[in-house]
Amino acid sequence: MKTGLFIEGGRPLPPVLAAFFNRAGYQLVPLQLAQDTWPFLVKSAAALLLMLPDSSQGMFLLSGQLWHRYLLDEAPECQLLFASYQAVSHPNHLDILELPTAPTNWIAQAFPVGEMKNLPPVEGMDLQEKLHRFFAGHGDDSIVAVLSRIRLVVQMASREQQRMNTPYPEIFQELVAPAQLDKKWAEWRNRWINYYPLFENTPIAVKLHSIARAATQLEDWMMTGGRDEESLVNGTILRILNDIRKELQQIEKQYVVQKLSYPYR
Amino acid sequence: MSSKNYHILIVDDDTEFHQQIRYAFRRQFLFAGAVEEQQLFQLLDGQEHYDLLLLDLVLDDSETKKGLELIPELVRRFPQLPVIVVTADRSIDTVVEAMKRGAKNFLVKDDFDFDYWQQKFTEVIEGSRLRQENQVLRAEVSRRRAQENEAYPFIGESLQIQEIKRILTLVSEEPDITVLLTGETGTGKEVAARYLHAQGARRLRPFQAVNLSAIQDTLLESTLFGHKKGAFTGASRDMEGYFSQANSGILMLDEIGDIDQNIQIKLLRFLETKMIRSVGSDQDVQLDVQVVTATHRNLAAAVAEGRFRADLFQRLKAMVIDLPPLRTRCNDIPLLLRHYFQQDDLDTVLTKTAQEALLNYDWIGNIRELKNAVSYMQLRARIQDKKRIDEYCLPVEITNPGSFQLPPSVHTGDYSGMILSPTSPSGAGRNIDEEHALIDLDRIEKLLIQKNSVKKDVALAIGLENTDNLRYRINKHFEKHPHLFANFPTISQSYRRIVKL
Repeated sequence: MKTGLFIEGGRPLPPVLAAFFNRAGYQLVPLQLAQDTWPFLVKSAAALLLMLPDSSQGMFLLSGQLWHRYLLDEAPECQLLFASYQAVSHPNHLDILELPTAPTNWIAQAFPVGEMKNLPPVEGMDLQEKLHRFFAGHGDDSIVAVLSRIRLVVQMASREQQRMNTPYPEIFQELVAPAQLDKKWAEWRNRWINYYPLFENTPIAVKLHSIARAATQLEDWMMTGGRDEESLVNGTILRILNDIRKELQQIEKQYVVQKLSYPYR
Repeated sequence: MSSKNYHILIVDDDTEFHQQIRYAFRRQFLFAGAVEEQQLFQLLDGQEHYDLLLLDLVLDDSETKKGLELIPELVRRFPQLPVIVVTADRSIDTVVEAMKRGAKNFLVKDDFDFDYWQQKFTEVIEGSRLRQENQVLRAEVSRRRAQENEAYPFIGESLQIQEIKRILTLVSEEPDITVLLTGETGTGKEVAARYLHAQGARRLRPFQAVNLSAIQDTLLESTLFGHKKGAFTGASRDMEGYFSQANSGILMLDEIGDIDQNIQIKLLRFLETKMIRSVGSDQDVQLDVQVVTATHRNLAAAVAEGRFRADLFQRLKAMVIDLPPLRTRCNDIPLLLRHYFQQDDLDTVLTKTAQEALLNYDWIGNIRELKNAVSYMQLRARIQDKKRIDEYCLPVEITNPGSFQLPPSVHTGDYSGMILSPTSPSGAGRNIDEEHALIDLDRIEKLLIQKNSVKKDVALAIGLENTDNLRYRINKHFEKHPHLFANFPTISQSYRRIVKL
């Protein structure tokens, strides 16, 4: 019996679907993205089944593009399968209301990720597109733009203090206070809170959780407008911001195409 | 210039960014700022000079990349002001578009790194300054080249010269053909080479002319092809040769018939491969040089005598242009005289008798001899306080053709027809030794002029074995009669280590 992983996407797996895969010789196992081992499970699995669309925060989301991108890099032989209640014609898509009569044959005709030309046109909000806007330089959706402005100020302030020995009161008055870090941080946090739960069932969920944890550590310093000199002196603030940036860069590099690669600099 | 003096104009709708950049780089640069297009152009049209423009792409709430549209206008109106795009957008399309439109660099705000940005600002500013200086220098080179070409005008309206000019113009359209200019000494071979240069595809490129006979044999290879430091005693640094200096342009090798076999081989190699190897180097260098050679010798005869390589001769004679002696195109003589006298009406500077004498003279030294004769005559006229040059101001070989011997006047102490003597034009009061020195020096002076300052040829012409003997003779004269040398500028120049006036 082969192992097939599945992501419920906010809805339980219909028993009829589990039975379908059983008949095709697949045992379906839920993929727990909160566990560190999930990347290894994906690599050894014969198929990954996505229940589409994901239902989260009252929205219908499509994580197919992001999983497709991930599997292309990490497990191109794996079959990326989709199941929905929509009548969509695609070799890798199952209409739950009208399952094929010959499961083995259906599995056999489905493409592995490496050979998929397109994804089934299931209706919903494409998370790949949402991620693009997440990284876009300008615009209300951009998470990165706001964080970038905050990091710029912290980086300049740290350099002033550590390399130029400029007294912090002066740095605060000339650079940090005018930047209104508390307002920027609040803006960033609001956007972040709205954004990152959308990616709960995607391969970037773990990285986003890691960023969320790091952001918590910045909360106090940011909300006091950067008054605490000590956190800046010991480099904690800049280090955390750099960690967040690094995680974001990794996501951007893997999932957001048509961007300058970082080594370009 | 310290970077502190560089003035940077920031254009960004984010005023916080202005303030942050100003603060971060306050020790390194001076700043001014604009938040939108109109303000930007007001500043640029004002009195202030800016060394660099930092341009954000999104300049208003519309989210359109207005900055991209501004770049071509900025480049067109302010070509000396380099633009660096500083933006949050890192998409490849945007970067490519900005650079295509004329931005010098592209910095992403999210990648802010103080040292890197400072380095880029300075690099772009200094790179731009270098380009501007380069443009100024190129303009200066062009101006000087034009002046140089004016200084070497190809004068002549005779049929021969018209035909040669036509051929040179046609040849100039073939920037890779090797040209051999032949003709007697002084017929204007370098002038013809410069004419070729001025007409052709390489006219904005260097022109180098080198008289191969004037360079010691032992130094010729390194002079032409360059040398590496330590290649020989005294080679204290790497040195470019004439070939490298003429890269992309024209190199004129005058007196090609005088080079030894070793140089002939190297020249042949260059003509066939376009590669040179400097002395002491183990690497070949590819060059793009059009070679124009010139000689007054009969190269075919030199080949027959085994003094010149037949294969090199075959290569050189791809295009042979023979410059006619002046005596075969007498109708050009008045033109040349007008040019050298800088006077359209020759009657105002020359008497009829003098003009006739000049027209009837053979001009063995050709145009060079004519040019020197003009200088001589002008000086003579000034010394004799004459408004117009008459037959008494002419060099003796013109008034008395065929004479290089002592004229009868010498015996009476009158050297007025041969040499200039500011102290004693009549020559009165000289002893016989001084008179002999004077005659000898006059002959050497004339020969140096005729032989294009090739001492070897002068020595041979006066029956000396080698140039050492000639130098010895000059030295002797200078020891005894140093005052005579003021009248012999060519000797003084050629033997400036001996003749210290």
